[in-house]
Amino acid sequence: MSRFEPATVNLEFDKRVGDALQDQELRANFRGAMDFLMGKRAAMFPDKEGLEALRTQGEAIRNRCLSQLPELLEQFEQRCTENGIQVHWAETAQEANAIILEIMHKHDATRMVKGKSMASEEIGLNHFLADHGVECLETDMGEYIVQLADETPSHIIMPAIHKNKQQIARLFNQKIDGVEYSENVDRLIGIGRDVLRQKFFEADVGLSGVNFAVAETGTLCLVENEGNGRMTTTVPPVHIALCGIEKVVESLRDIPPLLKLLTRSATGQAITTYFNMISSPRKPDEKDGPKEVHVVLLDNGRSRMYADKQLQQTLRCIRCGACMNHCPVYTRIGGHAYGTTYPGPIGQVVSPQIWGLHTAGSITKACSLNGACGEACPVKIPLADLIRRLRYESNNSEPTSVPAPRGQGALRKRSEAVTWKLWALLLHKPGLYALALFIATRLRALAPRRIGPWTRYRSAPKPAARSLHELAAQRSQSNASSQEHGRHE
Amino acid sequence: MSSREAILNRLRTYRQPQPSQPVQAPASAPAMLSVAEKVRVFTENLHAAHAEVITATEENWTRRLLSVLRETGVHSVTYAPNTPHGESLKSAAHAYPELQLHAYENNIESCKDALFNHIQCGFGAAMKGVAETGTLMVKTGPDEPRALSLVPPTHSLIIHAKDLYADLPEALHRTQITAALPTNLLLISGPSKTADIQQTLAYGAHGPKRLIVVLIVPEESDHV
Repeated sequence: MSRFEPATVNLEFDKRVGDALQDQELRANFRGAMDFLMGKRAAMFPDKEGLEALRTQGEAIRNRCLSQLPELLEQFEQRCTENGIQVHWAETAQEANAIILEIMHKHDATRMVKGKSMASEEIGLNHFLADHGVECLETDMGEYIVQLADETPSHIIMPAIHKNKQQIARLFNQKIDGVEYSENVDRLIGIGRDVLRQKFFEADVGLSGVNFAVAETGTLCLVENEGNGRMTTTVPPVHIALCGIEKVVESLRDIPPLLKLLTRSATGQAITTYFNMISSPRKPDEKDGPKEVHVVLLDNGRSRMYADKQLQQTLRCIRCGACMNHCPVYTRIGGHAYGTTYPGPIGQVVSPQIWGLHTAGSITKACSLNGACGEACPVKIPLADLIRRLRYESNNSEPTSVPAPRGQGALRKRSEAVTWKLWALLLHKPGLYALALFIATRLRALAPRRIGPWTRYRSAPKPAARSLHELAAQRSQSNASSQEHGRHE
Repeated sequence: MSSREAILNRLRTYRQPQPSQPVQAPASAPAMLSVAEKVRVFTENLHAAHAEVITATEENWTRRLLSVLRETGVHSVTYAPNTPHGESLKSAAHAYPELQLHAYENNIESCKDALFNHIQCGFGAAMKGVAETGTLMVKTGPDEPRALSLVPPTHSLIIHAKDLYADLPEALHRTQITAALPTNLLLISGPSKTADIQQTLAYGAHGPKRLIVVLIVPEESDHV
């Protein structure tokens, strides 16, 4: 899939899952990667009690910040403005794209380099800018590989995790001029480095995401290992940061525990190579750094999540990806099968709330409710509960006191609703239930042999000749009569 | 209504009362480490992150650093002029005629080509270090340009053992830095790296391939 097409999420979901399950190479790539990442994380948290204390702390920090979200956003805006950073607000993806394009136009800019930003994937920025004549180049190695292959990321932390080095070697050989086939990873990274250095050198604008936005100081925090995030935010004359409104934290004191949880949960690192804290554009006496810094605060459905007490927990997410690394379904079907920007358990919760249940509600099916995701989550988001809630909402059409998730009731099927109504009726009326059982057992020969997908790999269930009720009644009767018999002898 | 107002209004209208959840103390209290212990842990962690550490004294660090650079074929270094460490390096460099020193004294616009294509090493200073993670805190500004620690393929920087802290909260809070943050405050914990191709670690993704830390200790004999 070369671009994220919301319209295909529900429609082609089953087909994508089927295709992914058949792809042995893809499955091997994910299995290997997930085992690796789970092992790395486990090694970072040898002490279970320590981990739990840290998770509790992370959850509490995020909850406190969310409870003050409107005030913190205003404070963040004020501090940024004082520091010389320009703040923009976008309610929708379209609005965010338009703001970014306008900044590009103001500078007659045609070349953008991008640091990793899932929010930019969420709003479809690359294709929007390409349609408006702007070259928009991903610079995170994984993102660069994915863009070169005309694909989308399959994991929020490791975007090219679905590819092995042979596939990447072929890709570089085919797509980059003068590159010979080589499976040497150092060589491949060196090629990417050389190509992208030239792009950093030439770029007019750098765009990044934001991991934490500090309200107290008006600071943008970026977490990375490669240095492309620093390049993007240092070398071009203009820096634009795209930041979900939920990313705001109250003060710098909140950063160390969240950073610790993020890097250890994501890649099993005690800290990443770079933690980059940006508080202003270049000052007059400074020799480098962008002369203009913009922050685009993106809502795109987040304030709607905020309205519902249970679903608000979605906004605690610090985007570490541990939930997908620990998800048995994600491990088997991979990120692209979901068909949305955000895959895996957090994707199953975020995506239907951003794009609506009518568009992306089907992906909540890809869950066994085993709960491994919630156990791995560094800020204790009860992901399985939220997935179940969204499954419920996709079938529910009763009005709620706060704005319901978009597309509420959209996956409701009439036949399914009628079936459940009848079932409830039977279970409420003992007489009716007995009658239904009687009919089912007596007419068992008429039970259908084929019942849709169920019988593709299984045999159809057939009612027994007598119900358990009847058998039990018979048995107690015969017991009673044999006891009677015994007494007479 | 502007988007700003619309977003803030929705958030205010639908704010959920939060159960008052006291923030628990960190999982472990910061370890009270001696300087020697901090030096040991800091160095171990930097080594684990593929960084090189030169433990030296105020008297001999320039000689030690310059010979390492010479031995590894680094002949062009840019540094921040008008800084104590920059000036020390400059005066010591006379003994190394093959070494070209470039003062980073003009705006990046006028030295971008040299920085990207010719200079092999950037030399600067860290204001603090964090032992627990082997992290260097770099306060960029007029005396510490941002590209110095980013663009050349080797990055070297100096740090004093007295500026080491046990962990990040201590380093952040035991100082006045949080009152007014610089344009760019950096935590650097090794050379640039990536594992984006089949989880295989490779160094020098976009930033420096080498990180050489010059750690100044009071008495060399105590720590080597």
